[in-house]
Amino acid sequence: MTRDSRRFLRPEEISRIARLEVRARHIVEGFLSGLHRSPYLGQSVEFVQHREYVPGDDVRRIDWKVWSKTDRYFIKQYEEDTNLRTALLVDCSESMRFGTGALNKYEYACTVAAAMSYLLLRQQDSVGLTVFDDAIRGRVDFGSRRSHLLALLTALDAPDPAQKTDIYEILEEVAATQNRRGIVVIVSDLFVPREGLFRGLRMLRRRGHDVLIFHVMDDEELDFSYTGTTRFEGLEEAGDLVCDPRSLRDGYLEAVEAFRSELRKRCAAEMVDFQTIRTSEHLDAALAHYLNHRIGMRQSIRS
Amino acid sequence: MGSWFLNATFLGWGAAAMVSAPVLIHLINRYRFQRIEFAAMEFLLASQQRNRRRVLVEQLLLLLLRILLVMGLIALIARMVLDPSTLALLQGADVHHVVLLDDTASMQDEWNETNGFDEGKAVIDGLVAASLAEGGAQRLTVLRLSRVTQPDYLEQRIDRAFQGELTARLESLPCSFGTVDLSDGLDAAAQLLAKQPTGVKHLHVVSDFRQHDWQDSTRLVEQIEQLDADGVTVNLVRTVPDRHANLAVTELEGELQVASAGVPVKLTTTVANHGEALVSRVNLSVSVDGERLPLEVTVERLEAGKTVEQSFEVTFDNPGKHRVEVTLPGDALRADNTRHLAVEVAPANRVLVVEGNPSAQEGIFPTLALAANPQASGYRTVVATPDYLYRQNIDGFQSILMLNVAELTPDAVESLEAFVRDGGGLVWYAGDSINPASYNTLLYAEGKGLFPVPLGDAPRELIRDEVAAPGPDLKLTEHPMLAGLQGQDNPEIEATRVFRYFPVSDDWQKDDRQRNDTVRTIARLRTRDPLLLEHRFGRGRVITCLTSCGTGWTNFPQYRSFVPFHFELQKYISRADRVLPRRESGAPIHLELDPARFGPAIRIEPPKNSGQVTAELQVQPEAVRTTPAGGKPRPKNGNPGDSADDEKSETRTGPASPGQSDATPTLRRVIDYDRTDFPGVYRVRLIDAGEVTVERWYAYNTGRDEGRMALIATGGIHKALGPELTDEVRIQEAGATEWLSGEESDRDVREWILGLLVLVMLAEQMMAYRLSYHTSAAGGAA
Repeated sequence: MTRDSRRFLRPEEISRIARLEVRARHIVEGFLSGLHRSPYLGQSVEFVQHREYVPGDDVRRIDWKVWSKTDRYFIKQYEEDTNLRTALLVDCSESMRFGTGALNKYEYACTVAAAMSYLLLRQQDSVGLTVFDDAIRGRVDFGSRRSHLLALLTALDAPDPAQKTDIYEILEEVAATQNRRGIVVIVSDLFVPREGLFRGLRMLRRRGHDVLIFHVMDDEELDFSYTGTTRFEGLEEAGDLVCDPRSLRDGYLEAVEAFRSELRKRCAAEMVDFQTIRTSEHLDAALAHYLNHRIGMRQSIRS
Repeated sequence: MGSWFLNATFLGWGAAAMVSAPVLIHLINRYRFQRIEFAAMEFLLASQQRNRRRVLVEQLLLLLLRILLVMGLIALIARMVLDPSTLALLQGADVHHVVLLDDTASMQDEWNETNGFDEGKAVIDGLVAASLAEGGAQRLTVLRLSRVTQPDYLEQRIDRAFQGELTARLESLPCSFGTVDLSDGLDAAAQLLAKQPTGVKHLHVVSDFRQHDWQDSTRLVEQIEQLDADGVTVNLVRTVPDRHANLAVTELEGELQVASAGVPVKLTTTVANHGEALVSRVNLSVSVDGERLPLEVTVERLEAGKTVEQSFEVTFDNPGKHRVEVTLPGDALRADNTRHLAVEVAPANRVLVVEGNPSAQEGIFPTLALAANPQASGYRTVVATPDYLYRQNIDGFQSILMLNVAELTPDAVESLEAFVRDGGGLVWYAGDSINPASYNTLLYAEGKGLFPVPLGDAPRELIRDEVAAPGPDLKLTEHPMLAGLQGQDNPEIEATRVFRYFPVSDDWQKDDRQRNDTVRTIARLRTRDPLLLEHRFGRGRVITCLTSCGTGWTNFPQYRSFVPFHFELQKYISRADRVLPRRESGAPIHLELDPARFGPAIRIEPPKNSGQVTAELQVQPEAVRTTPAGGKPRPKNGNPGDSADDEKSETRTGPASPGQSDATPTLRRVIDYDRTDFPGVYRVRLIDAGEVTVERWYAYNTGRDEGRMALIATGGIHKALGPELTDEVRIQEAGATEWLSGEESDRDVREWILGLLVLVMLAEQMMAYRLSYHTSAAGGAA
């Protein structure tokens, strides 16, 4: 782990998040038995049901005891435990470089990604990483060994970006390279074309992925407490504006709230978990809040 | 525009540069900003798009506030003199000017071919011109002090047409000769302004502001305080700049009740010096019926602030009514230079002497005293027995002397009571014949009759003891009737002896102060027993002497003083209705006439030089309830002694006294004639039932106080108003016109501007803080 890459996962944060467990809302497939139950029936110890043999089935799974009693071929089916494949997508566009606190949005997003990676790898789940702006700037394939964490952190330490985000192509590419269903975690400020975003999310959902969005926002972006005549110089070539922030504050907050509201509604419609995180919030609190929320959702679905 | 500033030289390029400074500062501030790289520009631009207009307005408002700030400073430096009322005009407020114009006689004070009243009219002219120049909705009400209930103009809208009409009207507007309290005018103005709930209200009191008007200023100050509390701006406008020398005839009176044809009547006039310097050798002219008499009445020396009385005699050749005028040479105030008097001259003063004991021939004593030479004295006596009282008409006598009358029949008492009740004089003399029981029953009547006291059982001797009780028999009190007899110059009083007298009943309280009646003891004996008493019965006076008229009981008839005593006695008790009414200008003539005695046609002739026309009136009868005790309500500014003008059968007035009959609702022809401003003699002609013309004369004179020329200083008015009102009430000096164009209110406008500046500065600071960049505030946000 390089000096720079370590800044995303400091010991005190590791100690805080070590107690957390990542649980997917849906059961995903995996090859390790463990905490994640698979919807696929395969070799395992927990019998689920019998099914009549059809050509092509593995003859080793035929239950001969049933055949001796019924003179028909049935095969045994078992519930199979899987490991979790989690794809982390971290936005490194220019807008993510904005920040008024100790961390800017990108740094905070990297911390979130690092923390997630640490948790997942600790329970031997598989984690992959993609860093993107208008194109993919860095990629780390899935891996489940603990030593895989170093590769992930190194990839997060990306060069300063300057391009405008276009997320649809990114999501399309991620979907194309991930043939197994798993969790896709997007960490971004989502200052992207909305239609492209939701089209990409819809595509991921259709391919069976469980999608989480950590919407990272700076305090000033949410509160807008600037005073005095100010020249706002837009990142990502958004233009400049000289104004009295107080006179525009109400309108700005209305627009931000409308943006967040739209995100919440459309994510809910696509069964995408959406969580806004302030860069001033402690990471463990944000993750705990989110994971507890997911556990609650899962339990309600299973019951 | 320049007239709005006292220091207009500051205006121009300098002011323009100053006003443009905020624009430059504003623009500079717009480029003094912090720079922030921001990610969520999408939302910021959306908000800016939505609030573009509001933000622009805020910026313009800030710019406007800064310009206003500079303009306010310019207005202060250039000394803006905009009247606050003009500000109200700009707001569309209604401005109501009420002018209370003092038109009392003192406003005729003349100097340099103008006078106080003309100056007052010029003030109104100027006010209207200034109002027109200001523009806006302005109204004018003009109240003259002499007729505050009849405004000359009431809430008249001020415009060009009105200005022309007003100027013509003011030229012909006369000044009155009366006296009216300024408080009455303020009351009327306050009532009028109270009807106007909103708008700007100004009360301009245009007057000469004499010292005596403010001597008791409590009511005036209270009224002004109330006006101020009601939101009325009170503006006291002086019209007379300086005090001018003035002599005034303040009184003209005489022994008019006994005036008879061919007999000299003593008249006394009073001259007052209201100036500040001694005057000497002032000649007064005397006129009778418009003819100047060859009579020189000269005031040799009269110090400032003093008065002097000058007596002279006038002989009226013919009986009837006559006009007497005393005139001073012209001075600043001509209105008080002439005093008018109306006199009723009888052919002779008839006195009835009733002898109770004709054989004693006591009647000879008053006859000789009064009518020894009727042509010279003007008196004629008729000596008769008591039967005469009810057998003959006694109305024609001035007075009746009852000498030692034993007793009277009820008819005689009734006739005598009617005579005295209607104003006739009565004198009782005691004697041996008097029946005390009859007097006490019929005439004393427990204090309600013609006799003032209950008598004792029998006459009493006054024993003289030179050793034990030396001194005169008579103890005279201060009394106008005895004024000529008292003192060391008349030893006859001390020598007068009373041998016998009728004592009053022992039950009767002899101390006047202990009794509650109208009886007054004029003279006592040395035994403290009353000897000479007087009391009133109806409108007449009764004198009672408890010793004889002849020499039987006293030696007084032997002395020469007996003659003047009887003349003074006659003057004192004679009918007062021969004194024609004297009034101050403006007091109305109020008549209530019996329709059975007088026809409906009434003619009132004003003084010939008044310019007024004779009033021909037709008056119909109406029911009138007369008051039994206090008489009819007197005109407010009428003279208290003027009641004698009414005929005997008309409404009675005067204080309650024995013999006053209870009044009941009656039918009367009632008339009030109030065009009596001009001084002189007003003649009222009535036609009685016998188609005979009956004349009543009324002498009207300028108010006595109108000639007092001392002006109250502006400081004196401030002192009277007190510190709280001093700042609220404006006082304009005579001849000053600046206040008409608003320059006078310079101080007020300055205070307004200062207040406005503070508000604008506060608003500017708040807004600037809100809109500008501040490092301390931005530190937390950046």
